[in-house]
Amino acid sequence: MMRTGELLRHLAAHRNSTDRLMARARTLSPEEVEASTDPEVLRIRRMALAVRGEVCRMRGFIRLRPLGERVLWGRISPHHDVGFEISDFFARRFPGKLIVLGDGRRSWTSLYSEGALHRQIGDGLSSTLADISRIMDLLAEGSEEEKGDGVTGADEKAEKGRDGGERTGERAAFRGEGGGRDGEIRPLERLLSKPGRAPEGRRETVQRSDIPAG
Amino acid sequence: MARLATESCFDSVGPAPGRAIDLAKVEALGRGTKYDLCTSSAAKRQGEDALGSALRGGLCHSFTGSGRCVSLFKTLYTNACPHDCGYCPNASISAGKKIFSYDPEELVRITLALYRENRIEGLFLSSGIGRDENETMEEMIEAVRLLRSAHHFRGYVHLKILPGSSKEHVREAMELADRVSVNLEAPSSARMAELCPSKEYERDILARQRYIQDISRYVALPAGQTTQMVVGAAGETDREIFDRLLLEYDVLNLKRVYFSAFTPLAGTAFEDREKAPAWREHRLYQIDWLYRIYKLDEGEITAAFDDSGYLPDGDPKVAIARASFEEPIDPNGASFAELIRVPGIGPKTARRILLCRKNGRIERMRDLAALGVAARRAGPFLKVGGKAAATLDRWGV
Repeated sequence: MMRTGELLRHLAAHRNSTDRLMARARTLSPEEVEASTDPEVLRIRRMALAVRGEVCRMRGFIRLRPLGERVLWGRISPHHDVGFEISDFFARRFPGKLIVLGDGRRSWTSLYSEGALHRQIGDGLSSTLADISRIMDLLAEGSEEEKGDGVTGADEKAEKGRDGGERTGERAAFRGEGGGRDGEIRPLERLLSKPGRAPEGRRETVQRSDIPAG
Repeated sequence: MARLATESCFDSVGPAPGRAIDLAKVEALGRGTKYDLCTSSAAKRQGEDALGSALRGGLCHSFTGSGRCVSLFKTLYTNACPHDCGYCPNASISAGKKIFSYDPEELVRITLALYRENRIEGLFLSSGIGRDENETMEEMIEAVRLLRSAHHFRGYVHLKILPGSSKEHVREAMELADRVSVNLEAPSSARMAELCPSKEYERDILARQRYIQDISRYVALPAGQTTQMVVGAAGETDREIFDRLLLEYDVLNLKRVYFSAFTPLAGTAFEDREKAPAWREHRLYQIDWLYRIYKLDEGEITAAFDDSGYLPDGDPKVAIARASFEEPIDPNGASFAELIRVPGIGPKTARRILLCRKNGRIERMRDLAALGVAARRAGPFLKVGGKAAATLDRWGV
């Protein structure tokens, strides 16, 4: 039986979810969702299960590749809004690693560090990875001035995250988007300055050729 | 698997120069586990600042050539083995066999690389006996110890206990693994003599299972003890297998018993024997489910066997239902135990029916279908809206 919190989270992530369905789902007990023969309740159950299925599939079939020592990235193009659900999962699995998932248009970055989860939404995977490697290069060089300059671009990009302004009402409130609940939206630079597991004194180097095109 | 290894030539600190992986070895030792089965775990472990996590529920990643779903790095530690099990490609007499062995560091490196790429959820480590079972067991344990303590690996680990391992090794393995298993292979010592004359059923296998049972009183084993049998290589009947299964569950408290249908392999002593049909393995799993999950008792399940002690190639639940239902039952009045005995209704659906009844009677087959009932199969055994559906072929084939 699906708990109410899980049901609402999955339903909110469904691409055809509406505020009305969310409101209906809030009135349902787990037992009703499980055993109702009402068509709309059935529909809610199927939508939540479809999202759960996609999360399970993506977790299982995604392949991650390293970019330097701090980053694991992988390509996903989820049908529903589950990017962070998946990147958070791997962030918790690999504490201190920046998990960057996405496709040509969107990317989700999660980092689990010092007991907290940090998130970042972004444009296409390759531009996010390019930003990350630029920041890592700058951090490695350790020049304060250059660091400031270089990061501004990435910062702006990060703040404009394409997903941020799209949702309104019930769904957005539930998902706590815009920096709330269990993940904060933070600029990449601050994510990268979180402690990782990289050995002391070892420099971060990234091969440009490791960054995927497109 | 070889392809996986090519893509995993990096370790926790980036590319691993000069540490090329011996692909022939990875491939040979992976293939050597042909008869070793593994499925899901029920383990959950996760911690702050630890590498990895094991998931509750099924593990499901990728598919082997034979269509089996594997999500564990399933491999032998070594394929060297002094035993001569007739079906086994790792037997010492096996023609043209090339010997490979891992060392602990090497195995750890490959496992971690595959895990980081999310190709696996964990490690399933089996082995031939090697020179000596305790020496090999020691090295297998060392590999897992490295994973757990040096690399803080919290993923899933299933360790095979080699027949004849010492009690101390069994305990160490249990402290590190999520699941351990000793392979029964045969349902009795007489059948074992047929399969593998050099293994002592009572001493090498059953005694080790009892060690595990004893030790699990004070060492928590998250995913429990399991075992497996090769089906159809030694002329055993399904009834013999079922009788052994009962002992494994009721006396030794095993969590699962797995079956592997025998396939003759070139170069083995049994290469000319007949292949066991895949459906036989499937029917045995159905029986296992009826006993373990549906909690049917031994007497009821007996109805599924034919006179010579074999399971026919048909759904055993239907055979048992035909033998036990006097007349169709009304889902509005039936108990949970009655409902799950209806073909087409499983425990989950039966629970839904009970929940749904709280809000009123169920009068339409369509509502039952919405709750998950396989209407076509369940129809003959159910009375919905006062009448039985499809009475005509109720007892037919």
